[in-house]
Amino acid sequence: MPPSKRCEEWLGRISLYLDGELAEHLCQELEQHLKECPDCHVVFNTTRRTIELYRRYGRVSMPEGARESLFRALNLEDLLREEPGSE
Amino acid sequence: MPIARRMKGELSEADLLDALRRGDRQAFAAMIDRCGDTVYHVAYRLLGSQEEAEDILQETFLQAFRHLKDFRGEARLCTWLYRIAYNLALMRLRRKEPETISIDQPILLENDEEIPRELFDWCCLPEEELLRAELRSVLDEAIRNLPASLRTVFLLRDVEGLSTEEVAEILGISTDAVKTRLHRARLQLRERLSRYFSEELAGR
Repeated sequence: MPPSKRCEEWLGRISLYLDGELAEHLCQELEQHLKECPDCHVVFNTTRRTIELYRRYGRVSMPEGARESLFRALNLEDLLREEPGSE
Repeated sequence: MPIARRMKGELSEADLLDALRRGDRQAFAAMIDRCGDTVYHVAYRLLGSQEEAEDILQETFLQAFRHLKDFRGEARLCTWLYRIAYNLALMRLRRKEPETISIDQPILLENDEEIPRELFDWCCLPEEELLRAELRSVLDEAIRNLPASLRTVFLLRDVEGLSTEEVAEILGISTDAVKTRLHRARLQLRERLSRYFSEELAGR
């Protein structure tokens, strides 16, 4: 079901709300709308969960092999094994 | 004073920069520890291949160390590196896929793609349920299918946790453009995940 014009306007603001950048009086109105509109409520909750999942599982770190190659390319291979914080 | 220890998170930005300018090798290693993962992440998500991401990783640090004298300290060191990495990856992407890249152009709305259609409520399912559904590969595929211009904003803001201002600086766009792209990326990802979860998990 396509959301109403009013829903579209509110959904357009959920990112600002989630980032704490929505003006306070609009926050209250948005919260009220989410209480009254089950569809927007779902979109809001699943958007927030989407962000949480990516925060937790979406990171990609350089593989150990890539790190080693980089140290070698910069002639730093003797520092490769040194644990941060060790003497 | 040479840096005797790497002190990954403890060394201040100013001390690290001083040490780098003196050619302190420990400082070079510390800079890799500090910024390397995100450099790699940016390149990997833009180019989609480990091999190419490794190339960009090396080119970024080589270029940064060669041009350290040009760094004015207006941004964080890592921000400066991410910008170099982004530009190198983007150049390579343009060579590979010249037809697909209009990354700096304003984005036009196509086919109402930001209008949520999928309303399966998976927000509060326990994580084990979601994990059973091969969560990581689902997340990877959803982000890979985002337009490159939205993908980079999302990974830097939401996954790497950089500020709107930093992301604007790295991508060379306005903070308003960052916010707009972030919102569009989130809604598109939500839509894709919702479609997936509704097929996989609804009715269990």
